[in-house]
Amino acid sequence: MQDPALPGMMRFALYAGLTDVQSSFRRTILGPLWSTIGLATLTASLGLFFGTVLKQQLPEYEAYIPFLATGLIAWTFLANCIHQSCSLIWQFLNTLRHNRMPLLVPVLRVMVRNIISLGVNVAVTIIAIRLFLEAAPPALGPLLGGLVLFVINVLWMSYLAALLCARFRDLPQLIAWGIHLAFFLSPILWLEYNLGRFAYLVQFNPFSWLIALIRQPLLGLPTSPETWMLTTVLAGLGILLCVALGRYAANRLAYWL
Amino acid sequence: MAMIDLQQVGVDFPLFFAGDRSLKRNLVGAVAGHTSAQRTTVRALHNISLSVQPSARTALLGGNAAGKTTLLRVMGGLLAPSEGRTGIKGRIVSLLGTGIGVDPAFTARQTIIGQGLLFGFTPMECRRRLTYAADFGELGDFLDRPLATLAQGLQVRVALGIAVAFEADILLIDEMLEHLTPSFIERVIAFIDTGMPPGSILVLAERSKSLLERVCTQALVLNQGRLIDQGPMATITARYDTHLNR
Repeated sequence: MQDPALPGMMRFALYAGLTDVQSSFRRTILGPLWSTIGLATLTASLGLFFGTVLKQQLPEYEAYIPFLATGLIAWTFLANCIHQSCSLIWQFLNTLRHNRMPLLVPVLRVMVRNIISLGVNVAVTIIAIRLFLEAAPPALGPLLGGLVLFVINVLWMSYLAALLCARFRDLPQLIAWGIHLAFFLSPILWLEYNLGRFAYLVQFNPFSWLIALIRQPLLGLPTSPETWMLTTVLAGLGILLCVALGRYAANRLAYWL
Repeated sequence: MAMIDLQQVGVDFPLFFAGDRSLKRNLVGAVAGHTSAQRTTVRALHNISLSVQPSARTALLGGNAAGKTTLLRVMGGLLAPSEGRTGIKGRIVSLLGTGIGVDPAFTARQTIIGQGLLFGFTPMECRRRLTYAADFGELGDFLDRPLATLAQGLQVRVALGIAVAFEADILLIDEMLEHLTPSFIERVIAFIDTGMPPGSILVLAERSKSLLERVCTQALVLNQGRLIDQGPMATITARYDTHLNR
């Protein structure tokens, strides 16, 4: 018995994701732009606060705001995708019970709707950086490549979260806690050299590699070869893990619902 | 050509209690040496072997907890059996209680298009076939209402509209036609008789004996998860009461 073919799943996920975005525009002029406005407000507030707190330790205060904004953009996408994937099982319990729909389909849908928000956020950031800061122009090639690799990594993480949360119902809380902790342990609010002699520890944080994929090209800085290599390996290993677990769970998932 | 072939199929449902769904409890259990083999299971289907041939109109008979819904879920590819083999060919539309559609928040229109996309049709083809589904289901103004806000009968009409529009090869119905008006049931019977694609399969579990006798040519009888009888509808009907009242 074969599940719906991948092209069909992709088309459905795209349709459903766009429908979600369309629905968010209903009865409001701004729709998903609220996410961008929220992010801009968060960046301004945190930038003002932490910029002031860390002022003595920042070489350039003006560079902190785009650093923060680009980190928050990446993190918002990552955290939203994983959070929303954790709750899919509750949202679509009956639908998954009574339809031949692999769990990957709703996960892809979550990705699609968040990719649209990510795209808007990245575009607004590029414009803002060009207008208000004298930073180097974004490197569009590395930015596109970085976005693709970043999204692939978040996809496997989201699928893994959805699959595990289908089996273990106490996991969403644990994952929410983990994401919260990872936010503070990743270079979003703080810079690597704020850690002093412990700065090398950042190299062991996979989230810092993923954030760098988007942050570096947006700020017009080069993405290091190590970042490309590590995130590619991470994506490969993550996909392999998901394929293995997906195969293990394929026949069991219906019994877990 | 549609086909359903089950060989020695058995289904055991593990009973998940609150602790079984906890990662923490499972980790502690694994350390303490408890295995999943110790989990309580309920045997829903025992050693079922059957073959539903193309063009069959099959009634699924049996009392409560006979295993009808579980068997339909296996036939629909929604549940992989714990043991045995399944061979299922064809585009399946299942009407198995709650959970009709692809998202409860979708409108009837979005549900029909979404389901078509999952079947592998192009967006343009889905929009073209939407008209057939809406016409068959007489959906009219209900087309743009969220599925979750529609009455059960209307939801069934949406699902049947999908079967019509996307030419289901296998149509599985579990006690859903009772939500329809008599005139719409006549419409469904006419579709089953003359509108379904050549070689398509219908498996119908309904309480109405007269409806089953009118539509079905074959019957399967289940009792406590076992297939206890099968054969032509007329023959089985003669024994039907005996089996159910036993």
